[in-house]
Amino acid sequence: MTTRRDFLSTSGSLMGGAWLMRLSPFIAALQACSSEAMRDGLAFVTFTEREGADFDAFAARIVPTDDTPGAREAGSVYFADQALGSVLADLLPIVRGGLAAMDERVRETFPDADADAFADLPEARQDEIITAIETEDPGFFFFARTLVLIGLVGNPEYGGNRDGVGWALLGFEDTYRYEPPFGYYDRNERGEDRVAEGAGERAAEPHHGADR
Amino acid sequence: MSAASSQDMVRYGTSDEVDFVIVGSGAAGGVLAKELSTNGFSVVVLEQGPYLRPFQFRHDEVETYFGDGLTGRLADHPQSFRTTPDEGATPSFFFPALFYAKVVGGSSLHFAANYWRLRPVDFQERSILGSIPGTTFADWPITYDELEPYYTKVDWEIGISGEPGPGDPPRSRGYPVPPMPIKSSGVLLRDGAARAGYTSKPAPLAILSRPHNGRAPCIHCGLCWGQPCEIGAKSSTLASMIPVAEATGRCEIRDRSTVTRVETNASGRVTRVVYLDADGVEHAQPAKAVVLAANGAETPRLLFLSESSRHPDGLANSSGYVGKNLMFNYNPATWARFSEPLNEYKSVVATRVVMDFYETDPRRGFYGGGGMDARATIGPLFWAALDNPMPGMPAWGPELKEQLAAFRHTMLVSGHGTSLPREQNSISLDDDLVDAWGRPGIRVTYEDHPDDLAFGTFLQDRSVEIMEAAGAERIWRVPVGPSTVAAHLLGTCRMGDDPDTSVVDRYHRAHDVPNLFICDGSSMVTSGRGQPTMTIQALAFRAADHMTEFARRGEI
Repeated sequence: MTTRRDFLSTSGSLMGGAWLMRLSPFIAALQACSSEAMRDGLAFVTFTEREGADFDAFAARIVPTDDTPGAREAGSVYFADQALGSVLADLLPIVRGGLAAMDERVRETFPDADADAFADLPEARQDEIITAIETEDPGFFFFARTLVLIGLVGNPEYGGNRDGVGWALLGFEDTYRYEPPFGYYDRNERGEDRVAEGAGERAAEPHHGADR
Repeated sequence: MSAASSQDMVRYGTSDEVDFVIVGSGAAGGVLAKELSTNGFSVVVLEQGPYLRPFQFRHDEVETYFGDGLTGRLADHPQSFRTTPDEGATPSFFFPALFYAKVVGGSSLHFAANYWRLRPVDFQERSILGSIPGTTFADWPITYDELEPYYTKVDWEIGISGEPGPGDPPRSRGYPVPPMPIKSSGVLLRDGAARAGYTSKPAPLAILSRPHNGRAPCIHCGLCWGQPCEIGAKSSTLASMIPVAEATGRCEIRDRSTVTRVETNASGRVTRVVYLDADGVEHAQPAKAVVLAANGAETPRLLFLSESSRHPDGLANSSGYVGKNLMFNYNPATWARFSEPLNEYKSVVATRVVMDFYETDPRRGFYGGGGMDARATIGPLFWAALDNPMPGMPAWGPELKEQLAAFRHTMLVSGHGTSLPREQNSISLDDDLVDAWGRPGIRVTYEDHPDDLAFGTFLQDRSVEIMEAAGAERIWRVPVGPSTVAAHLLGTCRMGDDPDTSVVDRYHRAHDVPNLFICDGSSMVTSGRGQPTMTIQALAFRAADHMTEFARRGEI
């Protein structure tokens, strides 16, 4: 397997150092976006740092972490951050406006608190805020929640579902090739519903008789 | 496999008059292309979507439902929806009102592959039951017996797995391949139905359980619904018909070709089809005859766009019925959770059906009939993001997480029922919306008939009864209510003998235009019981036979 270091050194030797130097800001950005850095809450491409922190805190209340990983560990915020800057850009105004309104609501609801952002609230107060926006800002709630869940269960190349934690929560195996029996209730099924092993081409003969 | 993939397909120039231009390459268009080209005619198929190859198909629900997917970007294909004609229409946002694939093979690439024949009663139900106020309920101009040989062609040429069961209509030949292996949802439906006093049978599917016609059988990958099949086991027209059409050397599939207009001459005949290529450059393909097979929404839109002084209300629309009588098929849904894992994400969507409620029973007090299948959800992502929360359950927090964790234990009983034809339910042009090619958007007007919803509730009651008998731990009813999204687009250019109340005749020829044929879901007079594709394809095989005869006799 070719590592990135191998690739860069090979490219450098082929193309010369000047070419590589020009790439250095790009490479630095790539490194900043690497998954380790993203786990530390850095380098959003669409969200501001505050929006990202709020969305991540929201995600963590939608699918919370308990004895198994939740939407925070899945990196739902990084899916949302990427998607809102690209394929789901239509939703950005709704989510961005909703996050700002959510912080406004935090300040109105808890004027005595130190926190002025959703992300800074204790979980119980975050839940109070979400309970309110679920009914009072249902559009934002629906789309933000949907982004959390796509980020939880979508294919990992979109930035979420890290280490397959969303699939693990569902119990989904991503092999996309299975054999019967598929589940508990078909474990003893045999016979006419079951395709025999090694069945060959039998198209010339109708498998099941005509009734007229 | 067909040799077509290894040879270049024929290319016609836009100065060549071909025998047939077919608009659309989906369930109907693919069949028509194969039949007409193998019968010796030169054919150009114009398809608005791209020609994708199986190696480009990935298991990716993000792309399918939230990216460009097979359906194209909603912004490029704007739609709007309203309930009644006196309301303003609301543009679709995030998810389209009408969900159909824009790709070579059309929605046969993304369908769930349930293939049900209509029964004799479907063609004559108006005569049997009488008229229904507020509807255009009518008999078909053809009978089941006339269509039966073509259903059998669908079985064998498209490739259907299955086994005859209780109440099936007569068939002249058995299925080519046996049913798919039963899944846990199928066992639970079968056994629950038996305990509740009902019958069931293996689901007939356009998915191969064994090799057939040189195509490979299913590997149970589990993402049939909404996704294309990289194995070619799902019997899309891309897998079953288009390779045969191309192998004739007479059929060109011209993809990324968006039709803007069908042109007619002073004598009222169709002369050529105007379209925009992928770069937006306009071309026109001359043809001796044109076949519209673009689906029940795109076909009427194209007829409206083809208006002229001779056809002021749209081409072929002297009846005023173009775009009207839209039918979706009502689908009640019921979720059930069991103590042990079902793993419904594996293999095909549905493996068992209950058809005991197919016929209208006047004692119920309303019109309607249908069947139900036991199935998975669409896929893990669709389920997590859009099917949850289960009705009445919390949408977030530990309770949502618990629902997500029960994925492998959950199944759906999907009901499939009738929709009555109503003039007010329609496809029309939305001049406030403009698509990526400068055409007006599609406006949907749709309100379920009260009987459609009443039957939906009846079918859901039976679903609950069967799931209780199967031992479900929990059951959730998705509330029966108005349809606002649909994939079945039926009835909008209905066939009939009377030019005042139908758009095409019994041979799919437009009453008003002798060399224009229309054959797709729009041809259906009634909705059937919820799985229309098999009937659309049987109609296409039959229509191609008649077009061939007309052409050979010089009657086009």
